[in-house]
Amino acid sequence: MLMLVVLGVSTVVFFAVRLSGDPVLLFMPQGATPEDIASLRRDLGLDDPLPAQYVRFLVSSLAGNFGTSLRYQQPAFDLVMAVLPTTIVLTLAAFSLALLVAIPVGIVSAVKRDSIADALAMVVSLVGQSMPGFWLGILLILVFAVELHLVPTGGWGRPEQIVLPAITLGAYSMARISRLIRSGMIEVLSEDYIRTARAKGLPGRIVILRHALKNASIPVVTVVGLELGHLLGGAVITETIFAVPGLGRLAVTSIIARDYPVVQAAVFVAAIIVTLSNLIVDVLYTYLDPRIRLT
Amino acid sequence: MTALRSIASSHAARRLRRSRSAQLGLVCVAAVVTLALVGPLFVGDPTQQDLLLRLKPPVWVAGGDPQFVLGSDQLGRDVLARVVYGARISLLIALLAVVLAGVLGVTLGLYTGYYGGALDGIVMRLAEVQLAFPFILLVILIVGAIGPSVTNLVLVLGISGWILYARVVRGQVLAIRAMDFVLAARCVGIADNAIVLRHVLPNAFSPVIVVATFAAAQVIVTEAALSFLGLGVQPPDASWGRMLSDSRDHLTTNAWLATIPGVAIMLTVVGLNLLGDWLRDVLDPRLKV
Repeated sequence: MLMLVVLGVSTVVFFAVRLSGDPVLLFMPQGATPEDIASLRRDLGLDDPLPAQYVRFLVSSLAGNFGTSLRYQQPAFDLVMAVLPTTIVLTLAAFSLALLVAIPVGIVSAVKRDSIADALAMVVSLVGQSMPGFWLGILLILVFAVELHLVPTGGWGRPEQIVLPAITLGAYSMARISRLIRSGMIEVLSEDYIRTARAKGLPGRIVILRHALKNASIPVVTVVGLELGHLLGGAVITETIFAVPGLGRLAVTSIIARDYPVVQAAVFVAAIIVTLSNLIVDVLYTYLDPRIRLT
Repeated sequence: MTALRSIASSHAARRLRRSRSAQLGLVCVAAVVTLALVGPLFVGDPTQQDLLLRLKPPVWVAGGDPQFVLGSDQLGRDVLARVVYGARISLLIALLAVVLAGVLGVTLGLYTGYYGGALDGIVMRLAEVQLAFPFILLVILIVGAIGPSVTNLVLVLGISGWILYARVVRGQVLAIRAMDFVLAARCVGIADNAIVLRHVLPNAFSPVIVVATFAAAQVIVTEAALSFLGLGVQPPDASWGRMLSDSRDHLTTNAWLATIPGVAIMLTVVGLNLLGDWLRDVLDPRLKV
């Protein structure tokens, strides 16, 4: 599966650049002379037939060689790897925040079902799921940075600069996961083994956390893999709003500057990360539910 | 008896609540559609600039100008007019992209489900590969390559949105093709194509409506995000995402510019999602989308 994805991603990236016609014209800055264009065409090997170019691109992309950035004159892959930690930190912060809020909210909503707290949590999560990240980000800046001066409007490096981006990025997952935990818990809490656990006198806390939550979290784990994809995609927007120097911002600025080697490298790396995290999720499954066997 | 009654009443209560949220969804969507359809009769030109009247707040705020009900933007354009025309573009793109994705996805789902075999395997692997892409990056990559325009947005969002339709329809078809009426149709010698289109499709169609409703919300958010990044609807045409993006430079002087288009997007998306929930409950409660 991983190989298939790598193959698919390389193919799409390869042909996306060629969709617009001549990639050399994309690669070149506006106003380039015909001689420049011709020499770049030769340097990039674009004189060769398309299948030959495709095979060469596949081989070199597997080796992490995407060519040289037209803006920075550095290997595109190195540029992507340099900003990747920033995006990973932001994504992990957003995801931890989402779990940290979603799990207690989901549990309380399920245990105190149809209470005011439950209704409120579900309305807020519906709003959270429907709120586009770029709007939430702007509103957070407006309230906490512009009006209250609590945190900076953007940038990266100091601890307080991660707060608003992490909330912006994590909001959707937070809403989605708390809904999933709630419905999962409601289903599990009516199972026989929960009644057994209560009947043998285990404290409610243990029953809920150890017996119910672990089983209710199986559907959540499925979504986690998908959420990581969402989060990486959301990072594109979030990093743009908050001027965070990460993978997403690099991808967007590279597209606008027509720096295609970097775009290819960024999309490639992002897709690999999503695939790998899905693999990890599959492994986690077997831990949570031993009935599922990896085949 | 009391237990029965409490079950009945709680069930009724849940249904009522559910339908109330469906009503809310319907109102939101109807409001936005009405705005898009009849709004242009009441507002002026959304691209008309007047630099002397820039960054006016809405009329209900001190300093508001009755000429601009929702205020004016950084170039002195009427925010209400831009919201109206933004709604038209958003809904138009969503409608076309959803129809395109639906036709593609339903067709693939129908034939892969009906015939199975190698075609089925290839198409489903393809779906998995596409799902491994961070969706927005894929769209950005392609829009960046072919250039941003309304036509290209529709094409990219439409072509990339096929998976959910294909999967749902395929699942339905797998169940339907084992039914006796399909066997009967085959026995009387009806061609496969006619069976698929005339006998299988109508029975597999109701979840498509549910998927399309959620997909429309998704498309509207994605289009706004692309416009926000400068890769969507191009200026001077009005678009909600672009309005939000422009508002960032004027947060301190006119925060309404950041609030109004956001509310418009959110009303549309919440409305479509609530409507989708309701349609799912009515048409196919077991559907997981």
